[in-house]
Amino acid sequence: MDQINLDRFYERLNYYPLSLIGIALIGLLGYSLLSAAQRKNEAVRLSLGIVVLVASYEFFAGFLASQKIVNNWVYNLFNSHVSAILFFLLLRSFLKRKNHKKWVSLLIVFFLLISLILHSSGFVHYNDSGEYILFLNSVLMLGCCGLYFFELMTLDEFLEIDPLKEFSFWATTATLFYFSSSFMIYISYEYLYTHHLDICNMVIEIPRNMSILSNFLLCFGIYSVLISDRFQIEIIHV
Amino acid sequence: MSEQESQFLLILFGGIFFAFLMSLFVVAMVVLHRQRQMQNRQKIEHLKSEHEKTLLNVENEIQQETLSQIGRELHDNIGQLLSLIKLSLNSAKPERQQEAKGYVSQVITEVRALSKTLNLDWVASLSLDDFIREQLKRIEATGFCQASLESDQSFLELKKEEKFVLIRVIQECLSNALKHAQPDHITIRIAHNGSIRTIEIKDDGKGFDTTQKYSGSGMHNLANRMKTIGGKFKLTSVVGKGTLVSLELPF
Repeated sequence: MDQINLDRFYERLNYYPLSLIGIALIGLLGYSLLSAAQRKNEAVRLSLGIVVLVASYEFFAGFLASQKIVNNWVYNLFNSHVSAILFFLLLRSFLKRKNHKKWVSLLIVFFLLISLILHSSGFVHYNDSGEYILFLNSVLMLGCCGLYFFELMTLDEFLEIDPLKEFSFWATTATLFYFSSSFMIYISYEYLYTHHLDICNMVIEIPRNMSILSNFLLCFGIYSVLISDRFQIEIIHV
Repeated sequence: MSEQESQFLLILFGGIFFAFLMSLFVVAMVVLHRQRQMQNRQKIEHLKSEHEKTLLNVENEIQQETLSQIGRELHDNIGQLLSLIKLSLNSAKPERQQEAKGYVSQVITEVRALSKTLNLDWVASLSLDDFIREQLKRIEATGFCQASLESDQSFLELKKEEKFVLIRVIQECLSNALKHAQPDHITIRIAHNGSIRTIEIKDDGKGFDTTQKYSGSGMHNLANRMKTIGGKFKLTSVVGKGTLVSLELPF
């Protein structure tokens, strides 16, 4: 086995993993400053979970790539599965209707089941570019976002609130933008990587920037709780 | 332009168009939500004004009903007593004069009792059970029929508007029973089941066909009034077997 080459790793470090790690650390700091009751908030916990997870697997995947080790399995496991499930759970926490929450839970089970079948049948491999799984989870995620907007439009509970001051609205919007903008790129990633590497390098910036934006927003949700508690100013309601 | 450049531009413009569509979707959601909020506010305003109107009508009707009751009392009771006083005072016998004094005291008591009923504060100060008892006593005093009340006192705590609406609906139901049903007995039963309180007004009168159109409008009005205080109005009647009105109100 080759020795670990840290120089190559440092060379590869750019704004993307550094921003994600910075956001994750700021999120952890914000979470540590919250009271015990505020930490129990499901949306806050899931937001922190997503922010930390994304930073960790991007850092790890970057490290593997710098050592010339195929890192697809990291993205397939953490991005396509663990992070997707956390996003599903986050969207589920925003829903008001019990049967809608149940639908999201069923979608998670459905997604995992399909993934298991695809992997066990050999149709997809844990170390391939993971287009099918990404396509599936993106479609299901967009469905969950649709469910939130459907509730926003139809439920009386949402009538008294201003959506622009709701964390759930911004987090769902960020999720919607992130998954809708990135899934076309992810599913064509292998083709672009093998045939048009320069275009691939350009378009991959879109999901990267969306990911930073989405993580920043989730981190802001944690701080919003803190600000509203310390300064009695509610920027967005979490 | 090379093929690669055109592909890049296609992806770029496609991406911009897609982002624009997404933004449009989110903005549309916000705008639609705002419109829904506006409609809801207008609906609430309308309901509020309807509620106030209903309450005002109910207060007026209670006052009118009270005034006609006073009129009847003045004519049938106080008028009779005053005639007796006049007759007694015209007599030279001392015992008749003494009787007249007794009648005067009775008149004073009756007038005091009547004067109380002239303002709605009196109605507000009474409990619903007391009010119903008072109404049933009056019905029995007319000799039209027997009347009884069974209560578990679950309607003791009521908001002013709830009490006024219930009073008016009960008055109307009793009045309907007396006018149209010719019952031998009217029973009012107050009970609760979980979070729902119920007043049942039952008579053993003629009953009527609830599918007939002419019987609907008054009942519809009573049902609407119950709705304004968050209650329900139910009516069952069978020709020849009497009528049961059920008024439900949550705690």
